[in-house]
Amino acid sequence: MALLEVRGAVKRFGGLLAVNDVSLDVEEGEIRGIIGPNGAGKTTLFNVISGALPLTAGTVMFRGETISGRKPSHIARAGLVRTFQRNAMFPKATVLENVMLCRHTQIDENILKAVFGIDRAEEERNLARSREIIAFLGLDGFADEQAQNLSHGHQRVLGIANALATEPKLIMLDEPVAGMNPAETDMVTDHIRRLRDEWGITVILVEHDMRTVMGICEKVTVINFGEKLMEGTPEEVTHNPAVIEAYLGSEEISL
Amino acid sequence: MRATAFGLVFLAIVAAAAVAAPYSVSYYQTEVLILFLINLILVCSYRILTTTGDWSLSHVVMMGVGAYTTAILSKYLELSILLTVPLSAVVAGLVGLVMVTPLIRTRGFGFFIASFALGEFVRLIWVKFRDPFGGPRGMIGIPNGEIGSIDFFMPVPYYFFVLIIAALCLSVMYRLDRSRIGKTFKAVYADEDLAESVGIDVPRYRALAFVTGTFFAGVAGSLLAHRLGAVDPKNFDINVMVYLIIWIVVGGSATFWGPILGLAVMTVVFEVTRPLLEWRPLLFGIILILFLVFMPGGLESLFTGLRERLVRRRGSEGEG
Ligand SMILES: Nc1ncnc2c1ncn2[C@@H]1O[C@H](COP(=O)(O)OP(=O)(O)O)[C@@H](O)[C@H]1O
Ligand SMILES: [Mg+2]
Repeated sequence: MALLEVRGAVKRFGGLLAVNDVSLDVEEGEIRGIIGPNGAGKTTLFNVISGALPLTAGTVMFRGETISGRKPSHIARAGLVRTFQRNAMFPKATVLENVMLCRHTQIDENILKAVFGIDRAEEERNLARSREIIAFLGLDGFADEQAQNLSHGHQRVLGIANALATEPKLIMLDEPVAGMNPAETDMVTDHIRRLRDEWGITVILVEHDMRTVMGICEKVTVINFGEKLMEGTPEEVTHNPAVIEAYLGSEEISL
Repeated sequence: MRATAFGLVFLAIVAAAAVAAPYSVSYYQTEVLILFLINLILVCSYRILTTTGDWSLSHVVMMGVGAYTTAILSKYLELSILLTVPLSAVVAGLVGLVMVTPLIRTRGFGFFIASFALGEFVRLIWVKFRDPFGGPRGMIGIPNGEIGSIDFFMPVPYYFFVLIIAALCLSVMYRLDRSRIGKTFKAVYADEDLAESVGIDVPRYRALAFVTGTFFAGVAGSLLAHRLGAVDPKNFDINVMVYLIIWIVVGGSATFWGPILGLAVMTVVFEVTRPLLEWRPLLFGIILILFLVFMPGGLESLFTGLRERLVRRRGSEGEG
């Protein structure tokens, strides 16, 4: 049984089939790449897997349980989290406060506890773990910086930090290195690899930049016009005429 | 460190002034102070809802639920004021829970309008059901309450009773605002999709804010009913709701102190413009519009802006 099993996922927006009968198996410990031209339906696929949008048809299973139809917050509690293509964050809060706010899956909230501040130990644990996550991603120098004042690159990394705060089993990253310079891209690529190697988190990576995907993914799924075009090693994918066609047909292939 | 010391000194001054106040003013002014304290609970309770982005138009009606509950409990069941106040809060909270269940499906303008409609529905119940709500003319003869031999008919003892309740409610609301839950309310407002994606059950937190807010509105309503001795549906209509909105717009809602500042300023404005009579709503409308256009952050933004500038200057001095 794979960690994530998507079966016949369909998402329709009016007359547009943004995701058309996509099936996907992601094994525990994988770093899976999902590529495809702009508008192929990659983000929509993330939206339906994470519960942000309801599926038109199909099912999603995570750790052997059906998660399709559940709310994103419940799915996050089950251990599946996604990041956003935009720089999503709590802009007025600091980096540390952002990560602390995203630890809801780890907290048993209760209004009396909150008002009377009973569980200090839990709060200390959360603080320590949040600092650990921030340090892991190299944001420790910015812990007390307001999120909105960070550079674009650091804001993207904060997006990953916020997702990690939920202690996921599987993290889905939507174009994590978009708009980054080569040095930042290499750094984030390295973080992603360490996430899997050191923290044992399975990763699904949507990426436009082929070079990044080819560098860290063992297996790549290609999506075009909402459909799965093919699946294979980076080697197989880049040499597949249909894939080259799909990319050349729409825009430049960035290899 | 210096900020907390300053805060404690400020708090001590406010407490001292609050205790001395009724002895240095007239009975009429003491009544104004009692109303101010009740409105203080109301406006702070309203801010809880607004931190999640839910600008309800039914909040004053929820205060009315507390007031009517108190009227019934103290008139027919002759319960002590020590029971009517907490029970009215619980009833208002429960009615809030019933109301928020459909409301949670709406957001923004939809929520605004739907909350108004539900509030009017509650008011309609008061108007239609003469028994026990007294119909359009409401209920009279609500006891002022007493504790032992202390009769709350006189304003000064009641002032102190309300002062204690207000201090209690505000400190709980303040702690809630500073707590994880309070921060989560603001996170829900700042980015709903992100909040939901990291495991925050957004509808549940919006409902929690709504119910907590209506609970404290119930306290305010109960205290009001005991003071006025009478309640009627007009006490809780949209005109009163507009005043509540003016207080919070004038003060601002970003910090805990904004609505308090707004209420204090507007209470003074209200009292000094009494001679204007029927022109006063016009004046208040103009104030509301001026603030919305020229100072959307409210008066508190003057202070937060000042603090930011001070911090920045200290920062650049440090670098230099
Ligand atoms: N909420 C939505 N409503 C209507 N159409 C949408 C919505 N979200 C995405 N789409 C459409 O679905 C298609 C796939 O979009 P998207 O998943 O964002 O592509 P990608 O992430 O691969 O670039 C696009 O044609 C887009 O316009
Ligand atoms: Mg996309």
